[in-house]
Amino acid sequence: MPDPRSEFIAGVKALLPILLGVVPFGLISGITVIQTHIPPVSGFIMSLLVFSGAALIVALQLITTGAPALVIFFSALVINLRFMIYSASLAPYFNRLSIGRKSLLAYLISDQAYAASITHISENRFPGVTWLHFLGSGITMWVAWQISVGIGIFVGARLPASWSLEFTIPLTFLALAVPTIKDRFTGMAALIAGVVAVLAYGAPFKTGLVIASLAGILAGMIFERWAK
Amino acid sequence: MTVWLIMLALALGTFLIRISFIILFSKREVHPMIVRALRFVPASVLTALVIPQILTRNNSIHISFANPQLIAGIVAALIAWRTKNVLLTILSGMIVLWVLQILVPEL
Repeated sequence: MPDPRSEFIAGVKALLPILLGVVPFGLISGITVIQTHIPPVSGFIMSLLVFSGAALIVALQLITTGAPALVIFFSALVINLRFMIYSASLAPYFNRLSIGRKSLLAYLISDQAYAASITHISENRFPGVTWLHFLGSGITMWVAWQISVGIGIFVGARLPASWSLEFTIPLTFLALAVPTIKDRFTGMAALIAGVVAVLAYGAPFKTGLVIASLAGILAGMIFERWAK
Repeated sequence: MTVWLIMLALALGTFLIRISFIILFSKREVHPMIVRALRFVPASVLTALVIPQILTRNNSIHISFANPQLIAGIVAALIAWRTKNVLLTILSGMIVLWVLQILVPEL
């Protein structure tokens, strides 16, 4: 049985290599925040509250287009639906913890912390302390993320527009999207979601993202059932 | 003010999503239909997010090779597929975009 401290440190170490991808994404998120003319300090507080770069970027982009508040809310939330999968996957290992610890670990759920920790956690060799591994990677991710968003917010304003840096946002999402296509079923879901997203681009109240996401999920489920 | 309300709702909503199954699973089994649907969430949502953003120039969609973002996006997608590396994907896409903008400024 390892001591709790070494389990925590193992979690920290598991996340460190991923920081190479985290820091640029954080910087870009920070730059996006100020492009929407949100005051820097407000933008940073929003990042602390939401702790999700993708949702924050989409919400702020939609706010600048003047989309209705409910549409902004649901569009950003549908992006974070993926955290439900992580929640379901981590739940068995957090089962015996207090509600306070569960809440803290839940808040720390991110693509990166989940990816860095899940293999170790699912081995579950030391059930009493395994959660500390996730705590280690989660906190490391949180600190690195907020620092890079902060730098992006407070420094990014001075970067020239001709660099087309806003294009790094779809590229970052692209880098996250491609590995989610694991078989022909998830491939079908992605294909339908992509096509519908283009067709629904002009949908009223900017509802295209929500419609396309639901279409993709449905297509994947139907194709999977049909193939079996 | 509205912006703050949206952000507070988003913070709370995101937290509830994150804690959802951590609380639910300790009480009872979750419907298998929901578990099946959840499997398709990342591929669907992220693709629906990415494709229009890559194709959009000046607030409208351009599906044509005269759109340098489409070419940059295809190259970056190939790099993402081969390497699964976020940083390499961003760099390759940006470099292709910059090169195209320098070589063919009228695009």
